[in-house]
Amino acid sequence: MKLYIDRRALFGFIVALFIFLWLGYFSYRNNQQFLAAREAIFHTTEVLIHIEQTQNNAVKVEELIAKYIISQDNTYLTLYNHELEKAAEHYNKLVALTADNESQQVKLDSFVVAGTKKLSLHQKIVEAMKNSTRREAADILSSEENMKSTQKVNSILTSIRTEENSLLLNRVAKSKAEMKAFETTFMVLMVTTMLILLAVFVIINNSFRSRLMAEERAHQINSELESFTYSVSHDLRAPLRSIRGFAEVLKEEYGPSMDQESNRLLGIIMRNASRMGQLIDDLLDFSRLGRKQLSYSKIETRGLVTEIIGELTVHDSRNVKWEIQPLEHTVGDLSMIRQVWVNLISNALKYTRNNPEATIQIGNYSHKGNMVYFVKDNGVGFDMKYSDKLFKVFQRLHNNQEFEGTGVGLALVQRIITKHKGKIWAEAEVNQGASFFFYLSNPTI
Amino acid sequence: MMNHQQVEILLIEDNHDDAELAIRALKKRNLANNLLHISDSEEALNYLFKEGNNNYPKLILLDLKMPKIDGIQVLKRIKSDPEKKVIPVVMLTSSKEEKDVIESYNLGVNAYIVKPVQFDKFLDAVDQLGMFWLLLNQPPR
Repeated sequence: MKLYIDRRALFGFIVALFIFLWLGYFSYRNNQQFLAAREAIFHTTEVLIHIEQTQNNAVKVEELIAKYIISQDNTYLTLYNHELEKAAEHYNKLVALTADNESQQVKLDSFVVAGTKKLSLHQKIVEAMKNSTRREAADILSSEENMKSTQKVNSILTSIRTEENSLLLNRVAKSKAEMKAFETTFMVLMVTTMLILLAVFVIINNSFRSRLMAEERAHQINSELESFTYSVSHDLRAPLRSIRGFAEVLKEEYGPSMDQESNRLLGIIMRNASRMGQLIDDLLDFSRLGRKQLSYSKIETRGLVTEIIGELTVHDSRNVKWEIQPLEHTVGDLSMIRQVWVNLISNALKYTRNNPEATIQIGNYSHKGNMVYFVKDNGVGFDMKYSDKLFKVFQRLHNNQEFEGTGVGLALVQRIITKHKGKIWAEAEVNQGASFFFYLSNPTI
Repeated sequence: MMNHQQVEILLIEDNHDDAELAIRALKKRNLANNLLHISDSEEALNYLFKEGNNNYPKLILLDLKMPKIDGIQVLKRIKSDPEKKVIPVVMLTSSKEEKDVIESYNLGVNAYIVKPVQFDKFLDAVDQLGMFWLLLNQPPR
């Protein structure tokens, strides 16, 4: 795809596009992060609940064992065992939940040590009770060892709780910071994109405006050119007409009484006036062609070529051998394509005229999907090193004494073929003849 | 020049050289006997639209490009007059520009001749004009 857009605008578009892509990815990633943070916060909260429950269990266990000693009721022992089970459950949950946290795992391990010690004390109390030594049981309960054990368990649980609490606070703070950072970045990127698109809009608008101005200018130049060619056709031709006309009058009325040299000089004036007229006409044709619109139609090439040959040779007594192949139809502007054939064939006739056995071949062949037409002659040809001058206006490869002409014919032919989006080229050798090839790119009609 | 006589051809042409060539060409065909040449378009219009002048030319040869009032405007005046619009008008000009042709025909010009550079071709053109507009309309001398 060919791009006509301004380079800066294109760059802006690409940058904006990348920012949009990145924004999408960024939002997605941030959402994932947000969900993960929320999950982590839930997780921490869950850990905290279990710690609290374990702490409750620890207090209750102590209470129940005391109640058991006071009341000697076995129901409290059952409740005590039940409470221990619940504590074990919470403990197991905590181990599982903090599996990734080494420091909490260490603390939980020391909790197990302290708990086991606590439980062994409780075991001694229960045994004392079963042996009906209540006094001993009460002593153990109120012993300094038991108090310390309780404190130990409590302090470990509090430590676990403190750590988890600070973890929770950290995570919440981190999540908030991330959210804030996301919002800021998102806003910055959005504003940047908007600014880029605004700049792109301004650039496109400017380039559009300058194109419109260029178009206007082209229109203006075109109309100036039109009025220029108009005045050329009027004002240059009028004095020429007088020169030629009065020279003619002079020759007709006073020619017989003038000497030979005067008549010769008069002839030069007349010939050059005619040539000047021809030059002006050709130049006008050439410039007019630039403005002309193509009107496409199907062209019956063979009939056209035959007709042109007839017209060009009607006053010609030369013996030219024509080799004309069957010619394919084409599509183009009839009057212009006619001009192409007229110019090519008349050139072939002109440049073979010193050859007593002049042969002109006209044909076509298919090449890469194009129908290539050609006109080949065995005339004077030209040196291929000048081939770049061949199709230029007023450029000639032969002087006017050898072969008359204004140097517009082939320029005109090339211009017509270029207008038909086709191509023309030539092959030649000095005194071996010249071949002209062309094709048109056919529109579908 | 020959106002008291019947004017057959009125030539409106600002360029005296072109006019002389045209008159010479017409003379050669023996058509310039009753020819009136006016080089100023305003003057030509005054002549044509002079009150009480019923002596219209049989043919007007009109140059397209003239100062002050150009040929197109002269043509417009002639062709918008109910009586004078029947006078055949032939445009004589050096222009091949299509818009001039179209504009002239739209205004009702009877013929349009591009003045060729070569005198003999101009003679042919004038010859054809004369044959067509005058010789066929008057008895042979």
